[in-house]
Amino acid sequence: MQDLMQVAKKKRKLEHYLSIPYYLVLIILVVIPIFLMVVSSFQYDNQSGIFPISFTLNHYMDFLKATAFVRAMTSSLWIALATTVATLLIGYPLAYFITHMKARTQVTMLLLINAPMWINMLLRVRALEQIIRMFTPFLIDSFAGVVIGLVYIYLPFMVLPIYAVLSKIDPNLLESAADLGASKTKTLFKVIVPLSLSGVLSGILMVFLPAATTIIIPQYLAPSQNIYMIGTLIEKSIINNGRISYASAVAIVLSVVILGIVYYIKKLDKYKGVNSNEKEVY
Amino acid sequence: MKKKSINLYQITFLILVFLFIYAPIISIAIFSFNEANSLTRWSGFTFDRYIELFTDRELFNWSNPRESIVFMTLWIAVASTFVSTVIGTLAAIALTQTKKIFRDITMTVNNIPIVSPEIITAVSLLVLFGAMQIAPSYNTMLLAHIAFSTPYVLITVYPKVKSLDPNIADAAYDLGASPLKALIKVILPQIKVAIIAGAAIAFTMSFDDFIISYFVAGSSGDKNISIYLYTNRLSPKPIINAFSTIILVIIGGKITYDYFKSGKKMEELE
Repeated sequence: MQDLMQVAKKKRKLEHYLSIPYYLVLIILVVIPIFLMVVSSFQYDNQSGIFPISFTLNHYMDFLKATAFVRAMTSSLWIALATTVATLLIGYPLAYFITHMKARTQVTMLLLINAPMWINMLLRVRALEQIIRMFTPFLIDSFAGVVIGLVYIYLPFMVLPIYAVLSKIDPNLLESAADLGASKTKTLFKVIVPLSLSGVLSGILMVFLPAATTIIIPQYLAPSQNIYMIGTLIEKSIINNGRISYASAVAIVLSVVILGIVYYIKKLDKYKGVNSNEKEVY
Repeated sequence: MKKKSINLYQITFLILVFLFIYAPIISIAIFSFNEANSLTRWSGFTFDRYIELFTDRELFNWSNPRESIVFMTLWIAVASTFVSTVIGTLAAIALTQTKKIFRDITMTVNNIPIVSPEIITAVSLLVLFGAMQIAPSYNTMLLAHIAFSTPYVLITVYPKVKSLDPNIADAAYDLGASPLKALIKVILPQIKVAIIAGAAIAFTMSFDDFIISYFVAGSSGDKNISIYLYTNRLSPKPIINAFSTIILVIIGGKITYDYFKSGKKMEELE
């Protein structure tokens, strides 16, 4: 008996080796690139080789003086904020109405909201551009046009986490609120909204981050480039100017800003885990 | 539980939202049959765009698939899905056996490419290939796709492996199965559904990827479908509408099929 256990354990040990290719991928294609990006951000541009030996803070100092970076960063954050607010205003009621439908209709509705996500994003943005040019051409090259494009692409990311949380709220809670004399509006704002906060915050993160770092949408909906976002800045410095070190520095500052936002939003989630069998969506 | 009925305002709201979501997609399909080259004015019905599409030498080069954007996009999606599914699945199996602290570190690193915006992953991979002096091409695109798909396969498959009863694998070993046999005959069949789900995610992400592909391979002239669409954005070609419509029909068909299949299952359960 003891022998058999030993054999089984030895065989289980072999399973460790299965993860070797995975760790190679993780280290070579995830960890080392990030490390190299940090190193690269302190290099002068247009150097090649694995170990260039210069050190400069030029790119970071650039951000303080150059208006291009500051302008791109602020407009990105504003556009992402407007997009998040708009998706929340559309997505929350949408998710809320869906939870009041029959089970089968709920599945259909979610499928209809999800289905476009399987289509290439560029095709969808181009389709939207075509519609806007047909009916409301004045929206091309405007702040509102870019926000509409982002809402169009990222609305499902807001609806799904909110729906996931709303559909798990215990109906007994709503009944007891009613029994205790709360009006419908009061129940909504005092019970439902606080309980769905974790879904809302997940949705905010899932919309805000890609919206702030988009490349595609301003290129299609603001082709004259009067709306200059951080993604465009990175794309321009790499593809047009070949300034990889400068782009690395921009990417690092962007990561720091994003980490700050993620940390702050996660801290807001004080009702986490209130609902039964709730899973973390993000 | 009593279901509230839906009032008129809610119906209007739902109709407006779905109109917003679907009007552009439907318009793409309609204009793929337009006779004129215009994307905004209708002039007559024709199938010409579809004929032009399949004879387009850039998208479908039937005699030399290596020069064809559609075939190369499919090839990269298939290859990166295969590699990342195998690597991710094996790692998920191994990870359940490792120490907790080691597992937590792995999961944290695994989440970096999932959580961070694509553009940051794209810049970091570009710097890597630049430092290693690997010229941009379909090869760098394939490596990049393996890099961003593998973490998704791992987080899809891992929860399923974790939920397995370890006694079953132990029983297989006790009965004399070799590790390979236990893996193929006992472990893999139990996690088949999760593996297929992970592979589906990897395939779609590779097939539709733009930013990362564009950064690591865009300067070489090797294009996938997304890069092709992006570089042609200022000269809108009607064949792109025809191409989009075909993708719409394929995806729409697949979703409708799944929907009715799941409907049947629900009815059977009831």
